[in-house]
Amino acid sequence: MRGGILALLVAAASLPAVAEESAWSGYLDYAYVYSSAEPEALGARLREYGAEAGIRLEDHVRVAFTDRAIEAAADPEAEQRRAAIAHLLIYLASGDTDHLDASVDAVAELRSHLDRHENRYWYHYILAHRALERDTRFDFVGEMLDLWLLVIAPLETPYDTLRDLSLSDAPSTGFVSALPYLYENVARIILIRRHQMGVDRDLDPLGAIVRMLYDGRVGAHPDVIPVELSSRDYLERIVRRLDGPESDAGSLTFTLALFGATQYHDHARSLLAEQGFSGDTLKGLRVTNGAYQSALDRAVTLQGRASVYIRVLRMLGEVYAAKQRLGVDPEIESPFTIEGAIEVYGDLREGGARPMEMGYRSREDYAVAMQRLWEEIQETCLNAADYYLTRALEKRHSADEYARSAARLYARYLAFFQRFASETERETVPDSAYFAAYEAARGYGDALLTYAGGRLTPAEMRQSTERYVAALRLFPFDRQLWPALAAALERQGRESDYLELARPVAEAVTTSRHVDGWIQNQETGWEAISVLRRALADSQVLFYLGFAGEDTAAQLEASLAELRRERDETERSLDALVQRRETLGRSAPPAAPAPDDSAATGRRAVDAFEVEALDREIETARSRLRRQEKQIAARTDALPLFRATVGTEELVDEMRARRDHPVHTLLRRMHHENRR
Amino acid sequence: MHPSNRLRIAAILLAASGSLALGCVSETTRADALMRNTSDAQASAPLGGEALAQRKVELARAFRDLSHFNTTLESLRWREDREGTYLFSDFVGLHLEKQVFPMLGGEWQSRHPEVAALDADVRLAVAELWMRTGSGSQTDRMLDDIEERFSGRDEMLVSYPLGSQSTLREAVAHLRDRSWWDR
Repeated sequence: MRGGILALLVAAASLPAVAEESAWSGYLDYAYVYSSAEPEALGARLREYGAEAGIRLEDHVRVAFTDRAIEAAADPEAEQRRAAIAHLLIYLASGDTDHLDASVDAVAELRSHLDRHENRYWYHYILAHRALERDTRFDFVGEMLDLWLLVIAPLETPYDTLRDLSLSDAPSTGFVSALPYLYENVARIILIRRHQMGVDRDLDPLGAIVRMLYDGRVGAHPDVIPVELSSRDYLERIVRRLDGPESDAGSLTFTLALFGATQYHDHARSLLAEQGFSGDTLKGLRVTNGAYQSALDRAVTLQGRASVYIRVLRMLGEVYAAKQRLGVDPEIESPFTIEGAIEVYGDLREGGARPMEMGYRSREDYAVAMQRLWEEIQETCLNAADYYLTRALEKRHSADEYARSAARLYARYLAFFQRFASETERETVPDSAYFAAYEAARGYGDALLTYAGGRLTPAEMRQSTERYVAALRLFPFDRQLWPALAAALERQGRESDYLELARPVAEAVTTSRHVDGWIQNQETGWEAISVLRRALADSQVLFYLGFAGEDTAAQLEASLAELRRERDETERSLDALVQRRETLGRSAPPAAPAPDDSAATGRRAVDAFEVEALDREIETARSRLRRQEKQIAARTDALPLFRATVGTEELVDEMRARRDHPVHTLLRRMHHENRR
Repeated sequence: MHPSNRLRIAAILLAASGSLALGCVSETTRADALMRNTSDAQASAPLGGEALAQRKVELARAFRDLSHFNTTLESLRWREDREGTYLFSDFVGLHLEKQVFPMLGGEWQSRHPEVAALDADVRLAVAELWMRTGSGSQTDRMLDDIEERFSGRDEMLVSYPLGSQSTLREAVAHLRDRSWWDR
């Protein structure tokens, strides 16, 4: 913006020398070129002109614009106008309101000459500045509407005509050629000066002027004011918001308030990045909170309230992320809560059949806003919970408290998810909501089972396990979660429940039509998903997933040869036993011996015992052989499938990093497929 | 409109018309003269070439501006901003009187094949504005005039409702059908 002003000032420097008596006459006649400059730049320019004219503007005013001097001038009307402009310029550069009053007095003398557009322009422009100074906002709006109606609009057709005739730059075209500058000045007084003066209410009638300025006016005369130096970009951002999903039924007052708050937010964010939680940053965050509160106060519609919450939750999330990163925990009060945002979401959902009645221009805008609000709620919950978990690690003595705070946030998101993420809400719930629910469910279990320092009640243990299962149902492709479930069960002495809980989750994957289609069509991430589906289809692999770490798997694979040798040995041993057994004949009891054949009786008794022992040995060897065969089969078939799942963790990281990752869509489909 | 503002505008208009009547305009630039010489008679004359192109530009701009006015009035109504609505409605009324009606004064452009649709767009936008500012009878009169003016051409495509298209017949019917509550 400053660059634009400088450009205007440069342009002004090349103004034709007009007045013989004083160069100030020319500078003042063309003041519409540079009057919107920032005070410092304007002051510098006025000093420069003073040096060129040989007299400071303040002194020129005292000499040239007395009543007597004006009356004696060759063109008193022009001198009167210049007096008004000169006082205005001094006021704008210095803030001295005496000069504003003098400017108003001077321009009031032109009331009988308002048929001249140049006079009328300065008349309304000066009165608009006085209205800003006095904070009389209705007067400000009135002056701007009058300026448009009585100056801008009448000049437009003549300007077009002169431009078509290539006469718009000719000196004789007078004030008509000023039109591009007038557009710029009107834009700047509404967007910038008004903000600087703190007038921030009841501006909605000016919405029409802002839209008209954007519509083929500001920035449309690059030969006069280069587009990049105009306020075109600023206007564009405002008009897009006015007409977009972040509006409050098209209210300029609200849009400017929210835009101002986001500017404070941007500033606070850069301070946070550069200085951490310095005093300036904390002040910046407080100011931002206040500005968002003002925007919320200006919001009349649910659309407006949602727009504020979308922005303010982003800030809350950033603050939590910074606290986590920097390891500090400054007290930052905020009137905004996640509950407040969820309440707004609920209200929006309730009125979903009639989004226009909540301020939205279209159903699409409504859906975009709903999805954005959802994403901010989910990210704030997850960021805040992450922060608490980090604190739990850092402050072991308070770990229990922090972990439970994290669990509460996860639970809050899960409750939100359960309430609103139905199959019919595709339009208003983002795809990423499902992965976030997995993160929250897993986070809940981790918070209590891993991070909490204290003892867990049986109910908490059970609930944590249930959340792990829920997390697996939402995202079964997290191979790290299966052992977490097994470990949780182990802590409760329920290892035997593992397969009972894991198998339905695995079956949901292996029988999923959507997963199959995803793999068949080789959609994003299909390789990892295919590997995991193969693994989940095998109950042995499922067991490995739960109970074998990567090291265990490597050891098991390395000892395969030893196991085969053992199996061979068992086989040989079994063969030998069987052969021996065969030499002893049948094991059924023989015919009864003669009563006097005591030796034969003793030999037959030994044989019977030996046969029984041999049969037991054979059975044991066969059992061992079966087990060893199974182990070998597992290690040659299932273990590679399990080992193949190593590396699929990247999918989790990618999805966490990218809320628009295509697999989010798959998770949504799977979730609702499983619930049918 | 804010009372003081209303009075101020009246005073300004009075002062302006007074000075025009007396011809006491000093240092008149060519552009100022150009504007003042654009009489209703000229505006009503059949146009061609550059003048026709200029009229198309003016009508298109007028239509877009009126669309912005309609959007703003809708927003004000949404917010139940009574003072803002009064202020802006007065602005709209004066704007129509000073900028738009002189452009619509002639008959020729409603019949000219190159600008007739634009002419109808502007008239429908005016009818919509009147409806929004509570001037129901003026809306009805404008719609009567549109039907008479474009008689036999009611299948002509027009930009109504704002942001979409329909035939002139549908547009007029839509505006007529809107309940007083809607208005």
